[in-house]
Amino acid sequence: MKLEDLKKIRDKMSKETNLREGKGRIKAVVGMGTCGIAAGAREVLSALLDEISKRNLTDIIITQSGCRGLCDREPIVDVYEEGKEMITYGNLTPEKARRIVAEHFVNGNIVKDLLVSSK
Amino acid sequence: MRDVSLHILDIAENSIRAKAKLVRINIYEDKDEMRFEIIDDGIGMDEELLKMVLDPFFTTKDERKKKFGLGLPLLKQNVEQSDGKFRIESKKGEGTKVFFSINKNHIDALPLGNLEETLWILMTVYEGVDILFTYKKNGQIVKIDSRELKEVFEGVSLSDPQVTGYVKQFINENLNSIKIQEAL
Repeated sequence: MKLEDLKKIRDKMSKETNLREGKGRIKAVVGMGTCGIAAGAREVLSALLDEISKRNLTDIIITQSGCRGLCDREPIVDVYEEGKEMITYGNLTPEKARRIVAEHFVNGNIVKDLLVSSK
Repeated sequence: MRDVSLHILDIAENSIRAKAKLVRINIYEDKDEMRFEIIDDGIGMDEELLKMVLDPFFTTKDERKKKFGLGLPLLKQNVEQSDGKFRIESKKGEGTKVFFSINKNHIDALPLGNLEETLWILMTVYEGVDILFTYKKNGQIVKIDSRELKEVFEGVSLSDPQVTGYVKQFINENLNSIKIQEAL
């Protein structure tokens, strides 16, 4: 695959892709500090990206942050949803991350057994 | 940290936190050795800070305010224990360079790991920073430049669901073209 091949793909893509501007319905932030990376955050992030790409979920933004002091619960993902309180999932694996996409992002149900309890 | 690809992600993450605009990742591979360079144009460090990065438990009185991870000291230790070399250079205002090498024949040498995934993540979800990746092996060279990818998809984020799969495929195929050389 060369850059020219990517250009051809780009030209075929619908114009509406251009118009999509940074604001998603849901923003998922993966902790990518050393603690997160060592615990498997890269694989979790990769699974999230892969899953939203497969399901073509264009209203979800996947992004990253540094260590936020919950190192023993890594890999963690903070989920920000319009008009709702932020929630945190912890001790994730790629499989659990895919469950969050299906159950929470698509069906709208918080995955209770993956939540990090807030004290 | 299990492998080199995770360390590269960790080091690049440091660069991005140091406000780098461009991170160069270079790999030079021959029969016995792999050399790695991660070079950024971030805010850099003075000597005092550099010392603390490699010795996270070093402290001068109440200097222990800044947080440092254990990523670099662990990499240094691991590399040096398996006949490799490690070096870090930094200048305030200019950026930081991390060099290390792996002796491929050493039984404890860190494996390369999933470099494809590290590059895909770095090039897609980290906004505001560009990655220039170069891999040289047996006279062959592969270059992947996130600036070129962004130009192709002008205005669309590389993490966009309609785009990111192609970016992943592009990185995988280009990396494999040089990895497959192994048989020669």
